[in-house]
Parts: sequence; structure tokens; C-alpha cells
Amino acid sequence: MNWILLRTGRALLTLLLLIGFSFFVLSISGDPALSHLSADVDASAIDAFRRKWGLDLPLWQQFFIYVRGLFHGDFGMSYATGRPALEQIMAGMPVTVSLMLPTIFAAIGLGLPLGAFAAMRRGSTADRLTITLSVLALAVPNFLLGLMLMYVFSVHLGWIEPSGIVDWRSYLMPVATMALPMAAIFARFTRSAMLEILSHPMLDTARAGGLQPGRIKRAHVLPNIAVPLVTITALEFGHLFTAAVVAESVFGWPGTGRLLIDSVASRDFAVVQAILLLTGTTMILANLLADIAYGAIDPRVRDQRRRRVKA
Amino acid sequence: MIHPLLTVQGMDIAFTERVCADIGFELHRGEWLGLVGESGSGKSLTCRGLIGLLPEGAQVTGQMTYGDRVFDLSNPQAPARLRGVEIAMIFQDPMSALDPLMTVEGHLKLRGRADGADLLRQVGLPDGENLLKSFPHQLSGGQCQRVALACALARHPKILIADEPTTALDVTVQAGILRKLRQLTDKQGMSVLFVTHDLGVVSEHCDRVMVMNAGRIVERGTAQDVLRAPKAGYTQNLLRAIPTPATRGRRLMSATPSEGEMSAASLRQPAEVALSLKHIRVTYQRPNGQRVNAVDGVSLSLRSGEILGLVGESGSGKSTVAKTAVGLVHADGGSVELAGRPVDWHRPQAEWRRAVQYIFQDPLGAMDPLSRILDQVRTPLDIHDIGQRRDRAVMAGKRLAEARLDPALHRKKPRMLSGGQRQRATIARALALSPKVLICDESVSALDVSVRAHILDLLMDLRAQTGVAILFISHDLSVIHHLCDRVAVMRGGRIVEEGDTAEVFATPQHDYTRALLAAIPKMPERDIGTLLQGESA
Repeated sequence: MNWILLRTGRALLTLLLLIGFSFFVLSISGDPALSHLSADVDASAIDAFRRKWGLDLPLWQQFFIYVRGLFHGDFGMSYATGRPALEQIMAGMPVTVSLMLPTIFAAIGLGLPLGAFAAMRRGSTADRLTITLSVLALAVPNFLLGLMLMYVFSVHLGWIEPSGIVDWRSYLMPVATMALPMAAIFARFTRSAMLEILSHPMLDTARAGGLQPGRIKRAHVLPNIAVPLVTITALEFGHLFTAAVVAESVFGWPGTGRLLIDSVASRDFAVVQAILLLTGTTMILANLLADIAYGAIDPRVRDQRRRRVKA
Repeated sequence: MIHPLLTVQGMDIAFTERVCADIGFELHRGEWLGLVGESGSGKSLTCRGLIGLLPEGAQVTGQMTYGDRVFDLSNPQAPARLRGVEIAMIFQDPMSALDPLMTVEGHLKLRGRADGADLLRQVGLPDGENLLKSFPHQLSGGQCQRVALACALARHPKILIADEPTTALDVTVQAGILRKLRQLTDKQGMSVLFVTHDLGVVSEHCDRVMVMNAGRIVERGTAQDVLRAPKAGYTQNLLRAIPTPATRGRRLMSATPSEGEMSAASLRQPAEVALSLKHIRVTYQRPNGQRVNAVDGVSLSLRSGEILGLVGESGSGKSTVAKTAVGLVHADGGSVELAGRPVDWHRPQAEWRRAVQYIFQDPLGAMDPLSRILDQVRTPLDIHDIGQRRDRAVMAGKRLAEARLDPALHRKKPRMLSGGQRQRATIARALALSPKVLICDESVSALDVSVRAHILDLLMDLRAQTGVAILFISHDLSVIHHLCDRVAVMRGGRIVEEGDTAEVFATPQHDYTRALLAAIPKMPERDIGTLLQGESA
């Protein structure tokens, strides 16, 4: 229990660093007054803009005000629309989450069995095909994959509307765009984790003891590949949002991902910053959960932590 | 005549080439049958073939009769039905035999045993109840092997195949496990096919023995007959390679005393102290913050031309002491003196580094896998800027020749060499700088007996020719007795006994030394007459 407290404390510290870092980096990246007002307005209008948004204060005061706001759930206002940044993000969230959830399930559901299958038939044609396809899926950039799908299924075959949300079929192409490279990563990871376990001497002990192959897989192989899979799942959570950014832009979905692109282009700091915080928090949470999961799976990790906490 | 329990006939195993040929034997009820051979002889493959556990791509032919059932070995599924229930197997490395994520109880329950604690008591783990909830990493190697044994016995098999089950364990642990196993098998009338390279173990525990070489059984008979009066040339050589009390201080592989031995005898006079360790203390911090004395005030001195044995079980601190002598471990207290002068840790240490060289257990791990042998022996010469640049390759070649590595191999990379050849190369590299002291840390432990014999001979000759002092660390008492002039016995970070090897072995003073000596599997006295006859024939 102690260990979880320790780890949570560290997660909060990481979050604070993220807030500070993104705030200062955004601040030095350009002047929002210049990008929001047209080039020919006079200096007094610029000053008024700066006063209105508190940009005339010293940077540390701006930061202080910002952090104080965060504690009250205030992520700042959008320069572009004048509405709270959080409100704008939340408006796009359902769309983005509705892409992310099917993607992660599809990626695991496709990659894991494929990798396991390839490992069990190591060196076979099926195995080599899996490796080749996964390299291909990883090598093609997301946006290109999206455009290719669009060309084939919308332009050429005319089966699916190319952009926007029309019906359930609209999900197919963006989710495929996001999930295929991720499934490739899962497949490769599962395969190598599985190969390592399959050649472990403990399986000889199990086989020599007369345990049935199915029993051995359930009792020994699956728990042992869980550890590397938890690691990769947590890491892929970070890629999930990146993939959504690309997919939403390519397929014209009104989600948080596209909002990020638009806000970066228009230096809408509050919105960009809020999105960074949100995705950062998701990442930190995913890793925290992964760390807790390691302890639940592996007794060696538990013992190590117990000793470290005592020290 | 009683029917044998298991009969194997004409078993061949092939991958791309044939690795086992015409293996046939019988195993009777309640019998311990030893299967002896060096690495690569095919003994493990033979065992695996019996229960269909060969690696993929193995082609097997042959027939096996178990009771009144006949199995065609070419179908690995056929004998697989016997696994666990009729024939069980335990393996060499106890630490990786068990699932790290599963409790001891989980392992036993998986094999249908809910009465785990009872079973653990049977294999000599009296504290069964507490152990059930433990995970493998919380157990010692000996405990793990006993748990693996409990797993193997869980379904009451009639035959146990034991593939080097105690090789990775300390001698006293080995003795305990083997005694227990003998009791169990005697009580239950179980048969054991015992694979080992240790002829002492065969002599103490096996009723009959088969000797394997290059995939064939070259000799078989009762253990006492084969060990006393071996008939096959291979067995005779194997036995000759094993150090015994009679071989002490003599070369193993050549019958006539070499020049080296003669001058070794003359070197036995008091020489100057080459290396001395004074009151060495090494502490380390456990992960829980507790400070532990790994080495607790150890003093050793080593004279030129002397071989000092340092013996102890795993965790006794013997390697740690030796590593302080080369600065791989920093001593928290005490001093290292080279030829009477203390080593100053804060000064450049080129001279000291030249004078003391270290040879590790695993030669492959100690070499650069991408660099040629000759270049690796030359590297120390480059670093210390010895001789002319253009002469160094020749000098390195000379060292390799001294270590008796075939010149054809000098330009090969480590992976192309056998274990024994690699160890010769690391010895040559250590000799490159003409050291005063050579530290051999379990340097022959991973080698096959005949290879080990050659390396032991080499060390003996080197000492005689160059007068180098050798600190020889080993857990193997018979090797220590064979090679060393003096011996120090370590336990729990301290030296419990030290003295002239012959005296310590004849009249051990400390209880621990006595326990260690008692645990060595004894070889029968060899019939020298038969040995010589075999040689001339």
C-alpha cells in the first residue's frame, strides 16, 4: 500500500512538471496577440488584447494564475472563441473516445492472437507472413494509410462515405487507420514475449510432468506473457491520441484531435495546454495502472517493492 | 528372469546429422542406472527422446517397451502419454525449473496434489506448510530442486529420469538431496535413470552405469566394475582425467612426470610473498538497508610459484575476496599488498594491473565476441604499451602457443571455439603481461572432465615454468586437493581453516571442513593394473 502512495506522489510530481514545461514552452513559442489580430491593427488594440488576457503580467504571475485556476477546474479561456477551453475540449471528447476505445480493443484483439499464433508456429509461412505484414503496417505512415483506405473504399468502390460521421460504417476507416499499426506492434511484442516463454526450461518441467498443452498455456504461458503485454499496452495509450489526431484530420471528424491541430495553428494556448494536460494525465495514469498491475502479476516485483519501501 | 521395467532398443536420434546411434538398454525395478558422458555426448537427448521431449526437428527411430506396452519412438506423442504418471523427469537448473509467478502450492496443485505439505516433507522440506505459499525466487537452489522433485513425484511415477539434477548445487546440498532421493526410491521401488558427468556420484549411488561418447554407448556394466576396471578406451581416458588423491601434484593427461613437475618440486622452497591480502572486509547494503559483511576480515598470502586453493560454497565470499585483489570489488577495510607494497587506490595502478590477472568461470562472457582471439590477447600489450607495435602480434601468438591453443584457431572469433579452447585463450590473455599472480575464479568448473584435466595440467606447467603464483578458487574439493599446495576454507565471509592441502584433507580441524569433505562423492580405488593393460592394448 505504501508503495502505491509513493508511486502516486511521483505521478503527481510528473504532472506538475508537465504543466510547468508545457506552459513555458508555449509562452515562448509566439505571441497570440499577433496571430489573433490582423496585421494592420494599431498598437493600442494589441495592448488591449494583452491586458484582457493577462499577457502583460510577468510570466511567473501568469503561471501562478493559471495553476490556481487549475485547482478550480478552470483551464483558461480560448482566445479564438472566448469560451472556456475545457468546454471546447469536452465537446470533442465523445468523438475522440469513440475512436480510441474501438481502436485499442481492435489492436489487442487482432495483434495478440496473431502474435501468439505466429510464435507457436515459429518459422512457418504463417509466422513469416505475420512478421512481414506487421513491418509493412508499421512502415506506412498513419495519414497515408488513411488516404489509401479512403481512395479504395470511398473513391474507387464507393462503399463508405469518405468523411464525417454518417452511420456505423463511418467508423471502419478511421479505426482501421489507427488500429492497424498498433495491432502490428502488439503482434510483434506478443510473438517475442511468447517465444521467450516457450523456450523457458520451466515448460520442460511442466511437459515432463505430463501436463496437457492447453493446461500449460493457461497456467504458465499466459501469466508470463502478461508482464510485457501490460508494458506495451500502457505505452500504446500514448500513441492512441496521436493516432486520433491524424485520423480525425484525414477523415474530417470534429474531435479533440482536430481541435489540437487547429489550436496549435492559431496559438490558442489555453486549449493546447488543456489538451496536453489531459493526454499527459492519461499517460501518467496508464503507467501508474501498469505499475500496479506488475505487482499484482509478479511476486518478485512485490517483494522488491516491499524491500524498497522498508529502506 | 524378471522382466525389465523399461527396455529401449535401437534408438537413433538425428537432426541434420545423427547425434545418437543405436541406443539400447534395460532399466529394472528399483534400480539406479547411471548415464555418464561429456557435454555433447547425447545423454540429455537420449533422456528427452524417451518421453518425447526432443527439440523440434529431431528425427527419432527405435522402440521402447514399458511394462507390456510397446511404443514406437518415432512418434513423440506415443511416449508422451507416460509423462508424469509413469516416467517423470527433473532437470539441471533448479532456479528456472519452476514458474516464477506461481506458488509452490500452485505447482503441486497443477499436478493434482492438494496434500502439498506432506509431499514436501517427503522430499526433505520439513517446513512444508510455510513453503507452500512461497514463490520460487524466495527459495534457495537446493529448495527449488526439492520442489521440482516433489512435482516430478506428485503422480507416483515408476521411473525418474534425473538429468544432472545436482550439478548446479553445492556439494553438501547435493549430498543431502541424493541421500533423500535414494531413500524415496528404495521405499517406493522406483527406478532412476541418472544422468551425470560426475563419476563420483555414479560410484556412490548407481547400481549400473552406461558410458556415452559421441552419441553411442561405449561401455556398460555394474558401477563398481566400470569404475574399477574400465574396458573401453574412452572410459579409461575419462577416469584418468579425474583428479584423485593419487594424482595429487601430478599431471593428469601424461603418465610420465614432465619437466614442469621436476622444477615445480624445486620451487617448493620458500619464495617471496607475491600478493597478500590483509584483514579484507567487504560489506554491502541489502535492498532493505541492512549492512551485511560479505567478507569479514580475511587475510591471505600467496608466494611466488605457489598455488593456493580457496574453497567454499556459493555465497561464502570467496570470489568477493579475490576481486578485491584486482580492484573489481572495493574493500571497505584492510589492504592489498603486492610484493610487500600496499596498493594505493588513489594512484595510477598500471603496475599492479599488470601484475595481477583474473580468469573467470565463463570464458565466452569474458571475451569480446566480435574480435579475433589473437587481437584479444594483444590488447593488454597495446594498453600497457609493451614492446614494439609490430612485435605484439608475435608476442600474443607466443602466449597462445604457451596456452597450447592450436595456431589455426588464433584468428578465429570466440564463438568458433569450444569451451576448453576459449578458456585457453583467456589464460593466454591473462599471461600476456607476464603477471606475478594469476587468479582463477572457478575457471575449470564449467568444463568437461577431460578438458578440465588439460587445463589443470596447463596451470601446473605454467606455475613450474614461470613461477607465477596462482589463487585457485573452486567449490570442487577434489580439484583443489589435486592442484593446490595450500588451501583456505571459507564460510560466511571468514576463513575457517587454512593450511597445507595434504594436512587439511587428512586431518581437517574445523567441523565445516569435515562436512565438506564428507560430502564429496567417493570414487572406488582404481585397479591400476587394468588401466595400464588397457593402455598398452
